[in-house]
Amino acid sequence: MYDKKAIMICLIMICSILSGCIEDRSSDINDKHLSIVSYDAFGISQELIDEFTNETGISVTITRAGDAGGVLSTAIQTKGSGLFDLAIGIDNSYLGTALDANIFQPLETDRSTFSSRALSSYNGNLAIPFDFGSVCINYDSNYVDGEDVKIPTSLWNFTESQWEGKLAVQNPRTSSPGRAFFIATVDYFSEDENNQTNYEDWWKAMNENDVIVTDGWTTAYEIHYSGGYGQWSGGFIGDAHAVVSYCHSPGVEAYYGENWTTSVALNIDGASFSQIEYVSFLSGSQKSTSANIFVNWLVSEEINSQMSTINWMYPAIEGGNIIEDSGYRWHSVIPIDSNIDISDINSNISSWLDKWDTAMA
Amino acid sequence: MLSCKDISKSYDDLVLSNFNLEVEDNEIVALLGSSGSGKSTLLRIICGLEKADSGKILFNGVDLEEIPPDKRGIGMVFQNLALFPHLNVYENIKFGLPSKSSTNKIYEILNLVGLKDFATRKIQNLSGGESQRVALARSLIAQPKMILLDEPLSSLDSGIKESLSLEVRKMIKSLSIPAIYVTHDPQIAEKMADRIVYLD
Amino acid sequence: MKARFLLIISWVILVLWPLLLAWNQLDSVSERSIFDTISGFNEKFQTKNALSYTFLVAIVSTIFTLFIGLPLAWNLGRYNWKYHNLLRSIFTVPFVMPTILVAMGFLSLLDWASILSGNNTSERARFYTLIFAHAWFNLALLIRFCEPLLSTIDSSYEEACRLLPSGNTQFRRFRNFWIPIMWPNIAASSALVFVFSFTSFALVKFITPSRRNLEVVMANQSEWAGLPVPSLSRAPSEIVLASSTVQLITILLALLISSWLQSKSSGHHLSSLKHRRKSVSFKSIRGLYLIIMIVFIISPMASLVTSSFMIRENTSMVFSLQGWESAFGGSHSPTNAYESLISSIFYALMTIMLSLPIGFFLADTIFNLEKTNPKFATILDVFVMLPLALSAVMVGLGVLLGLLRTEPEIARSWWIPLYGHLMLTTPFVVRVLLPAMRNLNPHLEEAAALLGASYIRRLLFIRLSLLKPSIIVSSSLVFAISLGEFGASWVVLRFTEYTTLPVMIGDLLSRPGYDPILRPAANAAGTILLLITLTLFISVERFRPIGSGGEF
Repeated sequence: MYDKKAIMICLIMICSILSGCIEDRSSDINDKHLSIVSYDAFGISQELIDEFTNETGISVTITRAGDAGGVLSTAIQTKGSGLFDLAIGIDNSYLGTALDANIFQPLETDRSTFSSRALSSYNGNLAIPFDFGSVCINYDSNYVDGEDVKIPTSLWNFTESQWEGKLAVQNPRTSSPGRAFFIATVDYFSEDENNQTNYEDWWKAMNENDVIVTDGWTTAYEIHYSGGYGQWSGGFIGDAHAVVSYCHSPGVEAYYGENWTTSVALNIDGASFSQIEYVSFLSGSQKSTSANIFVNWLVSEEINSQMSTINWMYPAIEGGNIIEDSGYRWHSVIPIDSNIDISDINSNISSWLDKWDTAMA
Repeated sequence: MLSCKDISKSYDDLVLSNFNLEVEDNEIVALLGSSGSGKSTLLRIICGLEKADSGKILFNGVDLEEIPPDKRGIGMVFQNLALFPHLNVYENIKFGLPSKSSTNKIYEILNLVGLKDFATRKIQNLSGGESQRVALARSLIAQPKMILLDEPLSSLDSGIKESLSLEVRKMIKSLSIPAIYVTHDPQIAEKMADRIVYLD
Repeated sequence: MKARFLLIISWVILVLWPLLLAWNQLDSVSERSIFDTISGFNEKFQTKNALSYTFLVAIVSTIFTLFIGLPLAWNLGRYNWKYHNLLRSIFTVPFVMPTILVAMGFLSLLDWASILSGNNTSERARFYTLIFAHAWFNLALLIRFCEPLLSTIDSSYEEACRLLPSGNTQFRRFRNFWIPIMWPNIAASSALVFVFSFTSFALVKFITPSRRNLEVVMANQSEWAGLPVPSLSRAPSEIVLASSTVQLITILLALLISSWLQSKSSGHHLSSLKHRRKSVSFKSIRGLYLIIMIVFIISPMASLVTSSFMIRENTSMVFSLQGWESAFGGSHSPTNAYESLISSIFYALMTIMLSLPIGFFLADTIFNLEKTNPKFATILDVFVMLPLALSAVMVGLGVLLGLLRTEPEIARSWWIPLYGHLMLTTPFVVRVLLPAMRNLNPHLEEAAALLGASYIRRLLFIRLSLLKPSIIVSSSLVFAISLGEFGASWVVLRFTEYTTLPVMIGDLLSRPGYDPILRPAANAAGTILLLITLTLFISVERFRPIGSGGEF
C-alpha cells in the first residue's frame, strides 16, 4: 500500500535530519576546544579568534551572556559542570561575590607584567585582569559652558535646579557601569565632611531632581545624552547633558569623530570607580593547558596593548595605554577613583541595592 | 437478513423506543415518518455510526454490536451525499472499490448508473441527479451486504425524483441485498419499496 | 480515546513542569509573599509604575487598534476590491513579522521624522510610536476575526433588514443588525489584542526603553532570579514571582473571555455563498482610506530596508553597502548573519515537524470533546493556549530556571530553544485547525468508514487531504513565528552557544553604537529576516480557504 511507503519515507527523512543535526551540534569534550562565557559587548573579533586558533590549534566558542552580571550568574549556575572553561568580564564590583562562591581555579599567569592599577583591587591567581577603565560622569561642554552652567565640582551640584532632568544614569541592577558608579557614590558620600548625609540622601535628592534612570548604558548614552554620537541616531531625545559612562568615552568619541567631540569627562575625586575586568578559569573545567594558553595570549604584549581599540578599555599590562590616534588619548581622563574593598562590596551590595531601590521609588 | 430487536435510543427526549424490524434479503423497506421521528438515527445505529441505548442488531444471526462501522460491510447513501470534494467522480467511486478488485469495475458501474463519460468530472460540477448517482455508485461498488439510503433524493425536483427512484430500485434489486430507504414522501415510498414501515 | 487522553496529559505536563520547577526555585529564594511584593511594587525602583504602564499600554493599544482596525475590516469586508486577496495579505502579514523588526522599522521611521522636522524625539513621541506599532502589529487580528464574517454573510439577511423598520437607516442597521452579529468577533479579537499588547516585549524594550512593562521587568531580573545565591537573587526572584502571577491571571482571564466569545460567534451559520458586494475603485474616498492604510503598513518595513543601505558619515547619512558586507562578513558578532539565519531556519523546520502533529491531535481532541462534553472542551482549549498566556519571557524563564538551572548539562542540548518555540507555536496550529475541522462535513469521514476505510486511511486521505489548506497555512505561521521568535529565545539563548537571527540582531542593537556600522548591519540582517517572512507568508496565502471561520 503506498500509504505505508509514504510513512516509511517520512520516518527515514526525519531520522536522517535529526541524526545529521545531532552530529553537528553534539558536545565537544576534546581539549582543543575552549568554551568561553563573556558579556555581549566583548570586543574580540572573529578574525582575532581565528588568528589565535591558527597559531595554537585551539578552537574557541564564545557565549554572550548579557553583561558582567550575566557572566557571573552563568558561571554560578553552571558551577562545577565544566560547561564553560573561561569566564571573561567579571569585574571588581562582582569579584568579591565570585570568589565567595568558589567558582574559580588557579591560573599560572605571570602577574609581574601588569600595571599596579590593574592589580589594585585584587592580586591573585584566581582572576587575571585584562583591561580596566574608570566609570564617571561625562558632560556636554555645549551645555556646561562654564558661564551659565558651571562645571560641577561636587556630586551635590547635580541636585541643583539647572540639572533638573538633565543627568542620565543607569540602573545598578541591570547595568554594569551603572553598578560601578553606584558603588562609587556609596564610597563618595561616606567621606562626607559633615557626616550628616550619605548616598541614600543624595540618590533621594537626585530622584526629586528628575534624574533619568535607564536599564542599560546604550539607552542613557545614545538616546538621552546630548554630547555623544547618539545625536545622529534614530529616536534621539537628547534631554540629558550629562551621563554616566567611562572617563575615556570622550576619547572614543574623538577617535570616531576625527578628533572632535563636545563630550568631556568630569573629574571629581572619588566620584568615579575604577572598573577592572578579569578573566578566570572556571572550576569543573579540565582544560588547564588550553585555558592558560588563551589567557597568556589575551594578556600578551601583542594583544593586550591593543585593548583600547579591541575592547575600548585601558590595557592591563604595564606601559599599556590608550592609543594617541585622533585624539583618543588626549580626550580621555584618568581620575582619582573611589576606593572600596571587593569583599566590602560583596558583603553589602545587596542591602545597598535594596536601599537604592527604595530611595528611587 | 437484517433483524433489529427492541432498539431504544434517546437524546434529550425519546427518539426510538423498543423498535423492531426485519428486512429479508432482496427486500426494500421504506421507512416513512415525519422529521424527528428517528429514521436517520435508526440508520446510523444499524451501520454502526451510533450506539443504541438498548436492543440488538443482528445480521444473518450475527450480533453486530462489537463490529466497528468500517468492518460491518453495510453501505449508506447520506442525505447530503457526502461526496469527497477534493476527489473527482472516478476517484470517489474508486474509494469504495475493495482492494483486490479490478479498476474496470469502476467504468462498469459508471455505465450502470448512466454516467459513462463522467469519470474525470469534478464533484462541484455535477447536477443534483448526477451527484446522487455517483453517491449510489460509490456505495454499490463496495459490494455491501446491505444498503441504507437516507432521503438521498430529497433535494431534487419531483420529476427527476420519480424517474431516479425507479432506477435506484432496479439497481438495488439487481444485487439481491436487503435495503432500507428512509423518506418522508409517501409517493416515493410507494414507488421504491416492497414494504412500508411507519415511524412516529 | 485513551491515546488522546495521554496526549493531553503529556502536553499539560510539558507546559507546566518547567514552570513548576521554576516556581519552586524562585519560591525557595524569595522571602516576601507574592501579595506583599505586588503591593510593594511602587515602593521599589525596579517595579515602579510597571503595573500601571503595562495596563496603560495594553488598554490604549487596544482602543487605538479598534479605532483604525474596525473601519478597515468593514471596508475590506463589505466591498469588492480589485486584488482583494493581496489586500487581505498585506493587512495580515504584520502579525507574523518578528517583533524586533517591527521595533527597528518604527525606530527608523522616528529617525526620518526627526530628520525631516529638524527636531529631536521625546518620550511622548516614543510612547505614541509604541501605540502605533502595537496597532500595526495587531490589525491583523481584527481583520482575521471580523472580515470573513463581514464578507461572506448571506446578503439576504441584510436585504431583509433593510426592508424592516428597525433597519431602514444605516445607523439602525448598525445598531440592530451589525453590532449584535459582530460583537462577539470584535470583543474576542480585542481580548487577544489586549493580551499581545500586555505581553509586548521587543517593542517596549526598544521603542520606550526608559519605561518598563511587566515583561521587561521580568527579563531584566532574569539574570539573577532563581539563583541559589540569596544575596544576589532574593529581590529579583520575588519580583519575577509576583510579576508572572499578575501576568498569568490577567491573561488567563482575557483568554477565557476570548474563547467564550468565539464560541458565541455565529459566523458559520450566517455565511453562505450567496453574498453580493458592491465593487469600489481605489479612486473613491474609501479607496483613499485604504491606500493610506496600505502606506501605514508598508512604511516601517520600507524604512527598515532603506536604512540598511545608509550609514552615518560624520553628521550626515550616506548611501553605503557596508552594513550588508558587515552583516555577512561577521566582523561584529561572533556568528555572522548567515550562520544565525541557518540556525533560525533549522529551528523553524524542527518546530514545524513537532508542533504540527501535536497541534493537530490537540485540535482533534478538542473538536471531538465539543460534541460530548463542551465545558471540558473549553477548559482544554484554554490549556492549549496557556503558553500564550505565559508570554514569551515567562516561557523562556521557565526553561531557564526549570531546566537549565536545575540541570545545567542540558544547556549543551541543541533542542533547548525548540522547547520555547514549540510552546509558542502549537497554540496557533490549534487555532487554525480547529475552526477548519469544525467546518468539515462530518459525513465525509463517516462515508469513508462505511466504505471500509481504516482509521489511518480516513485520516490520511480524507481528513488531512481536506485540511490541507489549513495545514499549509498553519505551517507557514509556525515557521514565521519560530523564525522571528525573540522573547523566549532572548532569555534562554544567552546562556547557550546557540543563537538565532533575531537574537543576533538584538545583540547588535544592544552594543555601544560608536561604530556607525552597527546600525546598518543590524538593519541588513533584519531585512533578510523580513524578506524571508514576507515571501513565506504571501506565497502561502492563496491556500487559505475563504471565510474559514476567521481565526488565523
